[in-house]
Amino acid sequence: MNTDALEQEPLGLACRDVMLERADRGGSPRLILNKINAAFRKGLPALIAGPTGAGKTTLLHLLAGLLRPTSGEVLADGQPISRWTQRHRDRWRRQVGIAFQQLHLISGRTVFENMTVPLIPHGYRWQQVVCTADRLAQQLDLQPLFDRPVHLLSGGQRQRVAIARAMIVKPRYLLLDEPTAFQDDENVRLLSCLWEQAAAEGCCLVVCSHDRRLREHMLFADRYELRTGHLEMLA
Amino acid sequence: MKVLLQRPLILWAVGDIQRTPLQAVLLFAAAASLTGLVAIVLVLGQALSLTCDRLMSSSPAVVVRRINVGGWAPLPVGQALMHVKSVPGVLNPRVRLWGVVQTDTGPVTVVAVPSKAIDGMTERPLRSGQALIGPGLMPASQPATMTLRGEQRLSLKVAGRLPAASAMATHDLVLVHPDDARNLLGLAPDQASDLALDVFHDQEVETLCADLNAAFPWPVHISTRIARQRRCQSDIAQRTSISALAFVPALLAMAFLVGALGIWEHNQRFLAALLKALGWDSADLIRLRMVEATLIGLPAVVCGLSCAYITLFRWDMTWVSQRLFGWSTMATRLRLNPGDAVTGMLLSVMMVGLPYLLTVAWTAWQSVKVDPADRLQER
Repeated sequence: MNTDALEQEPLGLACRDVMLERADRGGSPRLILNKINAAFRKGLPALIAGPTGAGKTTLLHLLAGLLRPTSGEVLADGQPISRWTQRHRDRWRRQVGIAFQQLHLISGRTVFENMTVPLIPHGYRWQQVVCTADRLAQQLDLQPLFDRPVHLLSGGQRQRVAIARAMIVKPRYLLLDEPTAFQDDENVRLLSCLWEQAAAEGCCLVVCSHDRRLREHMLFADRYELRTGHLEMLA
Repeated sequence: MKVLLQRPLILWAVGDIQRTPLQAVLLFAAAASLTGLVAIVLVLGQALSLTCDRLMSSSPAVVVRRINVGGWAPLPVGQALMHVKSVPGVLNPRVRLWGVVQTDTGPVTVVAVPSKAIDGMTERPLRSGQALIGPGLMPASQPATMTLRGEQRLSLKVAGRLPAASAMATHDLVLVHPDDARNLLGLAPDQASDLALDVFHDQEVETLCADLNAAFPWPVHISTRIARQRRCQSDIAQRTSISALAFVPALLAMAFLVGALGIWEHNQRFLAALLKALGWDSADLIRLRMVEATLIGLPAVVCGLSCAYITLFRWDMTWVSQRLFGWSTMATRLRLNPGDAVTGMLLSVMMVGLPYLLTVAWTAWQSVKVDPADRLQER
């Protein structure tokens, strides 16, 4: 990529000719993502829809710098993060908030502890951590559950904890994988408001979901369809 | 403490420890017991060495004993003093009456004391038939009579006990009147056990030995304070270093334990991957592991050192001296100076703490090298 192209790159996340191959169970390579080109701009939430197994989670992991593409590159604010060493990507990931489809909450820990994990390396003082968590928990109706271990929560509550954990650092890039799978309509509305607010503050929001409620939501400026490894922008 | 608890990383580490109590207890026990054992050996060795030096410094510079083919022979007092005074450089020559005799509980050392009061222990000089005994002999509850078997059998009344603080030198000592000592050791009134003398400077001793050998008309064995000091120091060093070497496998075992717990804990790897995905980097994860290790290791080390201190300074050290020095009968009650022990304590903290922290750092480094996406997808 030449320097001009980098300068023209919009702020946010972008994929350029991204391909990802992985070995299947037999050991032979299988193409997961094929020539993905997309720009996820700051302040303009994007939705990636697609059937199960289309590669949405893998694409989200690539955008979060957890995976590296086989070819092509992932750019963050014009910087080729997929080419960086793991150490640099780990450091960069402090600006990323990610909610996994499997949630990956830390069992045995409380709601408060799970929510505040990403804040710890930032070196905040305890009081700041408590205030930040308190504010977000109020918005997500999690405050009464603060001291409850996460394994005692319902699926919807656990998912909101995972989303709160992703959002607590006020990330520059917010990546959400099936974030409304266990939510009722009221909570979908609540979460949409929060995301809208985050986007308005300049956050680059990418949501992967095949939830019809989100596909019909006005929140998203850009909509993509991922099918058999190909990403298409929808009109 | 309050300031420390304000740090979220420390609170998170405390939570981690609470989630794996068995592992924490295991590490605590390993670190505490090892620190305690190492501290006992090191501090004991160091304190014994210092005590030995202090005791030796008040002993005679040179001791001359008469010997024959059968070993030790009584020394004729008049002749011995006359011959030794002819040697230039000899100061304060005096004859001594002492020897080993048997009691019902084992051998004891009998020493004749001059016919005058002993400061702080007796108001009057010891009379014939009386004895002052060391702290290692006869419990205070037993009848105040002691039977000694040498050339003769004597029952002596225990007139007093030597102070416990002098146990290092006097634990099996029986101080008696010179007449009783002669009867027990089979010595005539003009005979003594050996001859002690001082010199102006310790450096002169080597050259004085040759003159002393030549001065007596019978064969003599000469022992010097410097040689005795060297022998004592080397004995202590040898025994304590052999014991310290025995801790190398124990240290390795602890390192393996720490490593095994760190590496094989599959959950740790998943957690490391998850934390990395949530914005932690390798340095944060290693810092967390180090904080956890410190939270377990620091109290463990303090506990180990406290146990060592209590064992060394508060209890009778009979079992340590039995194990370390093979004093099987009436082992010495050791009284050590706590001030001298600080270096030994610090050394033992380093000997255990350093490998412990290095192993934790290494295992933490191994577990943070994970690829977050792979580990997360495994779940």
